[in-house]
Amino acid sequence: MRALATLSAATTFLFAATAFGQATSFTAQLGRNPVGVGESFPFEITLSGSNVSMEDYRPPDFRGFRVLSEQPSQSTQFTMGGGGSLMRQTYTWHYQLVASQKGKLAIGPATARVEGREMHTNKVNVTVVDAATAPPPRQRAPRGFPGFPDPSSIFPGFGADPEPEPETSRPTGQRNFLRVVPSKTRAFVGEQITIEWSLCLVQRLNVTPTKEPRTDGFWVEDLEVPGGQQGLRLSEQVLDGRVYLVAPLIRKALFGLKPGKYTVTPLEVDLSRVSFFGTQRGEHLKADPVAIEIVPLPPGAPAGFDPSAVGRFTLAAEVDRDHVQVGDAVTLKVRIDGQGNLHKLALPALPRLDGWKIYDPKVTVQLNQGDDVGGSKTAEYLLVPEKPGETDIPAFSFTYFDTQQTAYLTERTQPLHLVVTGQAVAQSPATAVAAPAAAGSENLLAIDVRPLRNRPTLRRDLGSVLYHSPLFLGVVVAPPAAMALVGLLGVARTRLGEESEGKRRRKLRRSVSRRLRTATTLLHEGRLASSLAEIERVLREILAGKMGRAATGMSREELRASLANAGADTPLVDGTVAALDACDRARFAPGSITPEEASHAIDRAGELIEGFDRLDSKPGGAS
Amino acid sequence: MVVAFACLGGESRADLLDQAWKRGNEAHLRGDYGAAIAAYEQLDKQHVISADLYYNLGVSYFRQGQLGRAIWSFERALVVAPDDEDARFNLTQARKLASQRARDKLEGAEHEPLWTRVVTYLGPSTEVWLFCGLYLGCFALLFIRRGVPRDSRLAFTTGAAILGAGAILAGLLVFGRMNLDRIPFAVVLPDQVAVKEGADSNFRTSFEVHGGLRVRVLEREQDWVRVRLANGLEGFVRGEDIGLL
Repeated sequence: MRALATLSAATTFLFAATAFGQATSFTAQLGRNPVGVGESFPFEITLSGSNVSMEDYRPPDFRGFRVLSEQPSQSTQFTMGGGGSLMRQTYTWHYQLVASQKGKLAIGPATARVEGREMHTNKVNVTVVDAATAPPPRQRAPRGFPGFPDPSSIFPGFGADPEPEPETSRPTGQRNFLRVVPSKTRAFVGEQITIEWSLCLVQRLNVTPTKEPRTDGFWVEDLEVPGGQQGLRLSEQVLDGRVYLVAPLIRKALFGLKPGKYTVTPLEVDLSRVSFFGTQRGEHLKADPVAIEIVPLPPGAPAGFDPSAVGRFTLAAEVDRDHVQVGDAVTLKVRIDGQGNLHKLALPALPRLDGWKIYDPKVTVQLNQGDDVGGSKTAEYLLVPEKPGETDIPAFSFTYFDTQQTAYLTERTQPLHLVVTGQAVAQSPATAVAAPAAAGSENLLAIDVRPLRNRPTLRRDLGSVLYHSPLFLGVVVAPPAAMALVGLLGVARTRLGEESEGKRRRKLRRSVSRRLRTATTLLHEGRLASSLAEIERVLREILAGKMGRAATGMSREELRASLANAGADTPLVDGTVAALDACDRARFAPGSITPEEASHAIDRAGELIEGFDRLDSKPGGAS
Repeated sequence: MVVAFACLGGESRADLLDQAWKRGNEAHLRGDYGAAIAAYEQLDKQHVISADLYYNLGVSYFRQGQLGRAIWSFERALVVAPDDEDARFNLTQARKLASQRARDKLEGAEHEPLWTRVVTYLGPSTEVWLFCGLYLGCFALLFIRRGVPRDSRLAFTTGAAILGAGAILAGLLVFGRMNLDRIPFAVVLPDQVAVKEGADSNFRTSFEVHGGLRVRVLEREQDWVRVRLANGLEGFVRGEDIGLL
């Protein structure tokens, strides 16, 4: 019994000692050391203890590093023993970091309040070397990173290192995906938000971006991507317990322009595999969209505050000389250094200086490489004194909003004192007459232009007006159009002057009818000679129309031959000649014609005319 | 004559234009360059084409220190009147002064092709009047030729052929100028302009150019225009930052 009690006490002591030995620990571990600039590497903080309750965890100061991802996790372990059960809890924070600069850096301690007691992790020293000289991440990570081939050799053409054979037994990820990591999702207007899109692969594939993210509502500056010039720089990372090959694709610094909720659209890429048979299309990847809320700057901004001036800045102003001759130039530089949207922010304006000619400033922006957009913006003014004297350029001031202090701060420069010697120069050839140069002095004639043209009226260039006017087209088109119109009118007039056969025939018929009616009327009036004269005219008109020439003056033989040529048969020819003879007789011997003969002659003329009409319809008949 | 009257417009409009012209001149002479520029720009907005107007506008801009706009105005004066010696001198002076502030050195820039120099050797006005005179004269002789006896027609035919050949040459110059105007030249107006990769201020800055630089305008995209430099570089700038020639 005593032995049993002793054993029990010993077991209890051992369990308690074990529990004590495994008392609450708060540690930080680095995935590998040294690391290369721009390469990502894992960093892990672990809090482990029995039945611990943790609160107020504060991550370490990652100054000099960029946090690509942060993944907290929690696990609980039960241990059954002689002394009872023991529950052990482990909190883990996995970080993926990228070193921004070379050198010996330190990751500060993380803090957490455990059971009311504040605990700190150890400070971790990191040696950051050039990416080219950094050892490949082959060693196992503290949590058991598997060995993996040099990622730069995964993509053909992206790296120059020899490609080692991949280890087939290592665990790998299940799928390829695009990861998007914003530095923050809520920011002030004008405050920088860094977004990085990374490609996470489980195997060797080619990548072709198909759709870039849209960043409407933001001023955007592109940040350098590690290895961007040489291709993708891959590094192995453990994500959700799986090993991935991760390469940053795009990094952007966004500055919100107006308060509101905005969405950065997803990046999309196509993956493909290159094999002996060519390029085989793989899968299409699409990153998640990023929702960002831009909040307005706090109230209390001083008057004239530029909403783009958000960040941390310093202001300086200097002149290249403080003693200057009239006409010589002085260069004034107003410079803002710091971190923020330098491209957008406005430099303090130079006030008007009496007696100085001020030219528009030359503004240059110099941005530094790094995670935070920063550098310098300089306005370079050219000042030319026009008269001697002393001038004070007033102090420049610049107010900005400091996002870390959450306050409006104002930077001020000292006033600049300038002394101008020499003699005043003419303001302008048109407004002032230059004083004659003193004997022995140099008469400086600066670059100037010829004077104004003070004409009483404005001379307009009508040729240029016409050139730009649609009227010019009219000038080009009108002459040939008029020419064509005149030509057409001439043709039309000629055509209108010609009588068609049908028209001529209709006209002839009307004339014949009219003359026959007249002959009949004259016959009824007893004027036989006149009646037969009308009949003769009718016949001669008909004959002229049929023969194409006048019958007057023809002998009877000629008339017969012409009529025969026109296709008239013998009875028609004989009848025509007889009728003409009768008319001649009536004209030369009026008393020899009786009214019956005259009436018969009219009827005979009608038959002859019908005969000539029929002649026209005969085939081959002359018209 | 009809064309000339149409171009002149009404008498009252001419008076108004002359008043604005005088107002601008007076303002300039008393040193109020801002008012002078406002008066001249008022004329410009009414599509008045005048080498004198552009010249005076350039002088006022120069006096105000706006070298980009001064260069633009003198260039415009030279487009209208290439033989304007004063405008050419002032343009040289303005460019000289601008180069003291900043100068764009275009590597690989090509000279303007020969046909461009030939087409722009004469001003548009001269070319247009030359063409119109020869062209209308040619047709006038052809009309007259119709009405004269056959034995006198040879002289008119020869005259019309000579004028017609001249009209064809002048017409080629006008046609070449029209072709050139399809991708117009422009001048950068502010002292410094960031040329973007796309038609939005959020796009990355490709390069910077300075006031007075001649560019060609390829296309317009809302408030932005795509410009091409003499060495082939292209980018987008705001439409207000360039002045068309």
